[in-house]
Amino acid sequence: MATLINQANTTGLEYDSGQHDASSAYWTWAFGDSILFRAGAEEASNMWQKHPEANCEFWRFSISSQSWIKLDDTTIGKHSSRTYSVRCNDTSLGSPAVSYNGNDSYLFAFKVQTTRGESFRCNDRIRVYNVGTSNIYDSDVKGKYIYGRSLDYAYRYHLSSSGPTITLTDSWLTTAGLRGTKITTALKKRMISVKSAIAKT
Amino acid sequence: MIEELITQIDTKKIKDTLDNINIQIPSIAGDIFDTFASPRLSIVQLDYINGEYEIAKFYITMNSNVEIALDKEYKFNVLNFCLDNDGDAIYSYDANNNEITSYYINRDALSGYNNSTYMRKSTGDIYIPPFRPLGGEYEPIRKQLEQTERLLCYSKKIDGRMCFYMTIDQEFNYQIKDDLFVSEGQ
Repeated sequence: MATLINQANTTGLEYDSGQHDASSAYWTWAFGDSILFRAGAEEASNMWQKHPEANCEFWRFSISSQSWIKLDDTTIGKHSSRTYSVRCNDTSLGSPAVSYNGNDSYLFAFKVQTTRGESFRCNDRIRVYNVGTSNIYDSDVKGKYIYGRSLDYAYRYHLSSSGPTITLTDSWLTTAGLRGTKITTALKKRMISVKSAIAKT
Repeated sequence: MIEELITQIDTKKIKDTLDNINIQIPSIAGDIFDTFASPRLSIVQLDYINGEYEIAKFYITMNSNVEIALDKEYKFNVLNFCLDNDGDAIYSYDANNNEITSYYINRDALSGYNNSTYMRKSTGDIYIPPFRPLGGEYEPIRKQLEQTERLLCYSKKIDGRMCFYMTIDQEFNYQIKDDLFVSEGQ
């Protein structure tokens, strides 16, 4: 499942997967400045089943070391959840258990793998906010970073059952030469031309 | 097949039954009858008879510890419940605080990590996880039902019936009446 970025929409650009049952393709990727992710586990659907448990992981791809760095690895059970945030002040999905607020990563990986019980009693959801179009995320982010994409995906939801292996050379991503660049009119245009989110300074 | 059977379930009859019974809270139950979620039709028991399926029981989840089973005529059958401090047992009572049967349950068997029996009823009936092959004429049926990802378990009963238990997990918009469950002396 993937959500297209609407390049024609310059206001209210927020991409939300909605809450869905945990999948056998339990890795989700997102590329952006401001991201929220929530994993949840309910109780078993009936007394004959084991209450569900899910393994949750949160990774970032370090630009400086060109490697994946694990930020969190935990198990959630009955009636619990775990929220991760990236440079984001939105707490509507719950207070983040782990946040990444640095400037060394734009690509993130999230895993929610049901390890016990019914997979439809575990769920996850991702939101990706775009630079300059929402005042929900940390205003410090505005205008500081720039990124591009080679395809129209804000995130790749429930993409695969292996990870985190995707790299910045994957077809839907490109960041070469753009990290940390101040947004200019010309670069804004380039971001659009590389099918990125529209950004505002 | 299973989707078609679900469409035939008469939720009005389920509601009518729940509206017209009073079930005594078992004396060993503790506080598991204190709060209820919105009731859900959680499981149906399918009996496979002469090449046809028949819904033989409806299981209504009231909360994670309490369940009401109705028979194929939508009449009250038993009250099932489990206690938080006795997780390997499920008790079946009638509406008047009398134990009918009990189950020993090993929920870990559903995860497939071991080869153990999923459940054993005090009557002697054995319940098998959905993925475990079933010899003989019923194996194609098991395979077919397993593919729906709704098959919880199956059991070849001592009395000869072949029963499959299908997860439904369907809400039916029912508000529990105040005296559905009554304490002793009420």
